[in-house]
Amino acid sequence: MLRTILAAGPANEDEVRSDAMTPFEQAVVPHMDAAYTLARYLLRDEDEARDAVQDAYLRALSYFGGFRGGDGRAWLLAIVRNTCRTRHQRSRTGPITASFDEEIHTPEGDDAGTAPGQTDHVAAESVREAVGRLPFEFREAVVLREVHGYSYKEIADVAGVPVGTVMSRLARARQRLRDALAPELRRRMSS
Amino acid sequence: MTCDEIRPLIAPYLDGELDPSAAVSVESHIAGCEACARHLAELRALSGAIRDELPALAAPDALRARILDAVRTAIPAAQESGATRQGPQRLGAEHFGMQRGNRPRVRPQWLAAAALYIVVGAGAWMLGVAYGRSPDSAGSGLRDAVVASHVRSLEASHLIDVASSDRHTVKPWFDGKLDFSPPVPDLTTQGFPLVGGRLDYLDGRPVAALVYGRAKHVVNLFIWPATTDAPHDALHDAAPATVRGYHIRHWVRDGMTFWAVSDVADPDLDSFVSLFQASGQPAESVR
Ligand SMILES: [Zn+2]
Repeated sequence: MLRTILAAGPANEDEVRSDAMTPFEQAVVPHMDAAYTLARYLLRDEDEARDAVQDAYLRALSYFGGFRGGDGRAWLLAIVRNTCRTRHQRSRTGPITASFDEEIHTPEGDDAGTAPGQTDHVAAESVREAVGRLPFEFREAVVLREVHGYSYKEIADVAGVPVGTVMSRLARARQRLRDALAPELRRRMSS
Repeated sequence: MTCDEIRPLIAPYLDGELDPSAAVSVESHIAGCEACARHLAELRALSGAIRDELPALAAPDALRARILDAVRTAIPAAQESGATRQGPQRLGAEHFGMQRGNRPRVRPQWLAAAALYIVVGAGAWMLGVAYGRSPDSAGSGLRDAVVASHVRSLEASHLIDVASSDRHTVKPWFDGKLDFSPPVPDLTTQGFPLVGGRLDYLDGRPVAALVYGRAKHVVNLFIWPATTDAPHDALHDAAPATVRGYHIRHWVRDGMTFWAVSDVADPDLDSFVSLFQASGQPAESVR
């Protein structure tokens, strides 16, 4: 019975005007907030995130002919993710490493750890910093899981990797975050 | 099962990715193993910390306007050339650039989410306020966290910890798990059968989540004791909102804070809130 309940997706915010809307407007446009959120946390820079989302929508418009229906949000986020990945690689000084094992000790500059309205909050800073220091693929898995609420399968679709890879990335990302945030987590667990 | 066997299952358990029998194995092990229970608690605290501190954001208005403008420009052009659904069409930055300097052509309907909402008729104690769409709005972090919890709950095996349509089963289930006792009214005859309840984690604390059904949809109602937040936050939160396609209602009553989230139609969620409030069941602190 729950499966039936779950099959009914989210309410369409645009229901009332769906008759006047093109398929692109129905399937892709409503997910702009999700796209921006992903880009913002992946790139950790507001301007970069804005440009990435704009690029991604241009690409989405170009390639919408190849969209075969289904989950427009995952389809868009996969494009956003790829756009961010390209920008992320370009912005790094050295050549990108094929295996992010090698990134473990790469201290990525945390230039954009401040999200709106939280600048005076120490805990928020440390959580965001810790997530920001994760390698791109780890950060992506964590953000899609915790912020977007995506299942392993959905994350796999967006990231273009098998579910097993998602699980291993999430596990390793969480291990690092638990180490980095131990005091904060103790505080939360005792309150 | 041993700790070594259980450990790798704990995160998938928390993520709602285990099938029911595996979930039961994890639960029964954790009930008797302090170390694994602590591991779960840590992961849960981590998840809560991330959800609290990395809220879902709203796309900046200027970005939204630029993209919509490009969409409006591109789609009619594509339709005229008959290329909309057949293969890629080439678009360039000019689709963003060509409208520069013009007032962005954003349809009024699109601004629905940015419009002012007024709460009326649901009771004099419910605040009627204006809410402007902004990622900086006070409370948007919590609102987004509530939606994230709702979304997460819809994943298989994560919706309910106690499955029962009987409020006399669900209400006592929370005893000993929370430092308060949530109201659990029976709204079956009014069209919102109780599905069950579960523990969730919001606003840095464990909260009660009641699950009501409505046809094929569910309403998640999160309840926890209200804190003395800045009134500013309360004002912002009191506005009905739609985040990621989910409708949200928030109110505070009898010292409890309530968040209802669902994909049911807006009027249905309003009637759920009215019915719940009219049921007159008080919450009790049991601390
Ligand atoms: Zn154990």
